[in-house]
Amino acid sequence: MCSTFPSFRLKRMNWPQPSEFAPLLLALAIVLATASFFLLRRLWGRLVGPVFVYEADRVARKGRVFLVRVLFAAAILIVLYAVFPTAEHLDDRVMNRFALDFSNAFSIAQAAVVLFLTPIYFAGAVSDEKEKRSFDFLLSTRLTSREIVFGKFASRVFPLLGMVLLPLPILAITQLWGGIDLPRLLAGSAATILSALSLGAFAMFCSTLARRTLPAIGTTYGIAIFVVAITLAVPPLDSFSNPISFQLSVNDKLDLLDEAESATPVVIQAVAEYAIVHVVTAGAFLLFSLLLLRRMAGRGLFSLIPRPTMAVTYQLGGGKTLVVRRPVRTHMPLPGMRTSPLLWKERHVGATVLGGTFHDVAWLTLGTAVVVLGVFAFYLDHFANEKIVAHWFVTILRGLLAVCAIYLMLGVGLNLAGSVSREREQQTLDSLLSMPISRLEILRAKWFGAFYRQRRALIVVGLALAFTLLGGRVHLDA
Amino acid sequence: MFLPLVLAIHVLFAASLGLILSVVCQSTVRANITLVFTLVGIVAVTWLAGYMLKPLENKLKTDAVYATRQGVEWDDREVLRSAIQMLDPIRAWWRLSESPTQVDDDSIYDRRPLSYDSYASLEEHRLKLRLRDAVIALFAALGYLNFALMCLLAAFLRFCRAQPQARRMNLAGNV
Repeated sequence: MCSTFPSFRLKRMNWPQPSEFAPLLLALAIVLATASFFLLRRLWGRLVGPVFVYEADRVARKGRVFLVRVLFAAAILIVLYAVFPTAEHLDDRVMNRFALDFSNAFSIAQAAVVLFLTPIYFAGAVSDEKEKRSFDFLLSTRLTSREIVFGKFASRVFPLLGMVLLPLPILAITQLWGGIDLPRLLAGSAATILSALSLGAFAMFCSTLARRTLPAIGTTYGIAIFVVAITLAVPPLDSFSNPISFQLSVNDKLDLLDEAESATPVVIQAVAEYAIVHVVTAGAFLLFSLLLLRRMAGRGLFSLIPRPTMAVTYQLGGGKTLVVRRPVRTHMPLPGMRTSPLLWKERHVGATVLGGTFHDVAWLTLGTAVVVLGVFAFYLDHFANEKIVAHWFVTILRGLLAVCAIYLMLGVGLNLAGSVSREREQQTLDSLLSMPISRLEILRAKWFGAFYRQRRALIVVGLALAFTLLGGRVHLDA
Repeated sequence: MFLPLVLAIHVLFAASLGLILSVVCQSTVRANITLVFTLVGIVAVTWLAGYMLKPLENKLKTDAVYATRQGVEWDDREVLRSAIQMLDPIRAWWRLSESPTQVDDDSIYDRRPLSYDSYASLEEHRLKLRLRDAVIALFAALGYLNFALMCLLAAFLRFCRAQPQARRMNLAGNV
């Protein structure tokens, strides 16, 4: 009796349904957020400090921000062109379908572009300073770690928010064609912003740990892709890991709604759940960055791996021995310098045992796979008359050739892209240019050094090329 | 036959682009990102252009005049599409590493004239189409080679003009 009484009262009082007050609640939340942002501006100012002002100014003045925005707007227009209906008579049904297609395609394109750019924006925040050797000066000022981390983070958030707001004029044009599905679109944009925040915080964390920007960017991409791939295998988690899966799950929920039901509560609930995951993730990584900023100032990503040691026994007088653990040498022993010191430097200096061993094992495995596949394809084609199997072997071989060739192109290109600019960054270019060596000789050493460092890839590509040309003669139609 | 040459030219192109970016750019990150964006951009733009030209191909496919035409197709639009596709290094390697008679799901090679009723004629037709694509890929690679040589020359000239910082400051009268 007692349990039925309140429900009776509730029915009699005609409480508004959630769908009725949800838009009002949303508007109120936006107004409150804006007002609090304005009223608490001094607090934000204290939180992010002067670094924010300087960095925001510096980032905004870069020409690449403008270029990226133009390219993004062009990409959105191309998406619009691709999904625009081609039917001769554009009735309401066709335009509704177009609105749905465009909002989906827009959300996916926006998420892809913003998430692709996020690591590039954020992963250089701290490691750029380390590369320019200005990080020590920054740490020796009276700025706190909080001001440095939050200032650099906030200054990079705003250009990304600009990227999300950029397509608004294009979306305004689509209103002329019957409008777009606004709840889906807002859900997609909110998920993109939240994902960019958490990914940006993670990139910031990688930047704090790394000594150079490129490994920080690579690590951010690698781990983010790995996490998304893992969560894709677990359906309940995938809608929380990336905005595209989130958008698809919201679409599924909205498709199940009746026409009379409002989509707003469903969207708000989904966005709130997504926000909790990503805001907590962003906060955690910013906190870690804050804690590790000074501790990791002079160390790289690999310093997190404990340095291997080995026991060395010394024979002392009187039959006594002394066992001491000494660190294992991590750099390759350098060979003797022969004719060209420059070429010697470009070839051998900086190679580590860990990296060299990893490359040796990886390329040996790939080379073995190429040889085995090639020999089997040749044997099956010419002696066993198994044309179909031989054809598949050759197809795999061609795929391996393409992968190795892409690696070779990128490896040589990136190696050479850092050849002169790294000297400039490390302030050794002046010494190099002051030496009595011709400029052609310097460039030649850098050129051949880059190719020498990719010698393993060159050998495997050569093998794959030979076996592909040999196996490419498989005559399936014969 | 053309594959090693085309692949070597593409690697040379990436290397020379990296070198000129290294000489021109102020930071390594900017040089690296510009290089990666350029290479990814080439693949994306050629893929997009090929995608845009797809409707033309479908229109051609249903064209009765096309279906009864004899010999290898040297239709301008078809050649243009092939040329755009061969500008994509990955697609060029993939196409050039195919066996001349390999069964392929690519519709280009299935669009044979209807008048070819014998197997030998069909084989000959496929071979000619593949040779055409190989020649186009070679010309596209020569374009890359041209660009690579220009990049190398520009990098050398720019690097020759570079002065140590102390000398630059002296020249500017700052010291």
